[in-house]
Amino acid sequence: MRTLTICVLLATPAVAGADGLHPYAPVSTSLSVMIRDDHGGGTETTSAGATLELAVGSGRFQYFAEGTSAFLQSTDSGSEMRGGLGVRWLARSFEIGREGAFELDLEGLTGLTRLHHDAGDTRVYPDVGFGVGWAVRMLDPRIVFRVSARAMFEQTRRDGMSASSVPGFVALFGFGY
Amino acid sequence: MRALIVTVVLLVAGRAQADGVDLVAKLGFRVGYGPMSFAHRSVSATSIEIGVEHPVFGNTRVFGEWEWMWLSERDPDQAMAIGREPTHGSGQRVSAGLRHALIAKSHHEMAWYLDGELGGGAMLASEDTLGTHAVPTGIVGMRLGFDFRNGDSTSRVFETEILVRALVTPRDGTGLLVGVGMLWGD
Repeated sequence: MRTLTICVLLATPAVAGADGLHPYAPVSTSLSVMIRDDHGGGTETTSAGATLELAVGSGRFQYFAEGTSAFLQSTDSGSEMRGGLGVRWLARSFEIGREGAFELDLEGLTGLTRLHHDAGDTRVYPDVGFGVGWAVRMLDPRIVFRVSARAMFEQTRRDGMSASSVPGFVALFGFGY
Repeated sequence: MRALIVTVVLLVAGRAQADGVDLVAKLGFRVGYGPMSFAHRSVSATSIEIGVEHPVFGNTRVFGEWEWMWLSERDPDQAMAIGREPTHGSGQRVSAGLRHALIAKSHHEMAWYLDGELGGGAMLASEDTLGTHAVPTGIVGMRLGFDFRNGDSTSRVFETEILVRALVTPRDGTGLLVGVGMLWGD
């Protein structure tokens, strides 16, 4: 098992490097400003906060875990917490010599959101989503600036009953290392 | 209609000064926003688009796009004033067409361009109270942008553009889409 793991780790950067792309770093982290807006079940919910991401890179793929803490900005005040997992694919890369690159990312993710309204209502629901991102990645120092736009799908309620969902829009602006 | 005619004339008869057009296949995305009519209601559409392009002939490329859209009432206060809930929906739109470089100029590793585009597509969108609607759409637009080239890069071209597009529908009139996009060329 150990041999297999070592072989996979050794092979991954070689494969990624073969097509000329700068592979994702084996381990990275990022902190982003998050803005979310949705109209699920006829109720508008807007929130703003911060998202912390921890990621493991493997060639053109990056597997990430993220946590978000935000404040509701809509008519009801409250808070939002979200934890999620996702995968990011380095779709295209325009390299600027050995300095860095402009990159196109496509990502898919899932998670669990907890919304708490100060009035007392609390909802916990799962979500799935997809997104596109534009990143400026420098190699030395190893810094990434990424802007992502995501569509998030979740089951919502309307007057206490399940209703078809209007997906949420999430924008992230962050720096990573 | 006048814009359509002008664009067709430019596409067919225009002699593009296309000394800087990079005719390579491209993949990219766009974030867009604009007013449109949906089921006779005035809404704003915010969208994320993923698109591909491929050169076909001369300075002309064929493009295909898939777009996810959020629809929201343009004037919620007016809707509330007449006693109805503001419209909030979502949908998808697929589009295909041709874009042609009308003007393009290059300078070293950089170029800028003005393209005209013509095409069509279909939108499938829904809203809780209005239901689901399928709407055919004609598109005519202009794109202004610039690109960087690097022959040593895996994507040899990186393009950034601003798009202004009219969306012509048979029953809901003409909408508008303004977007900022980026494309990576092979």
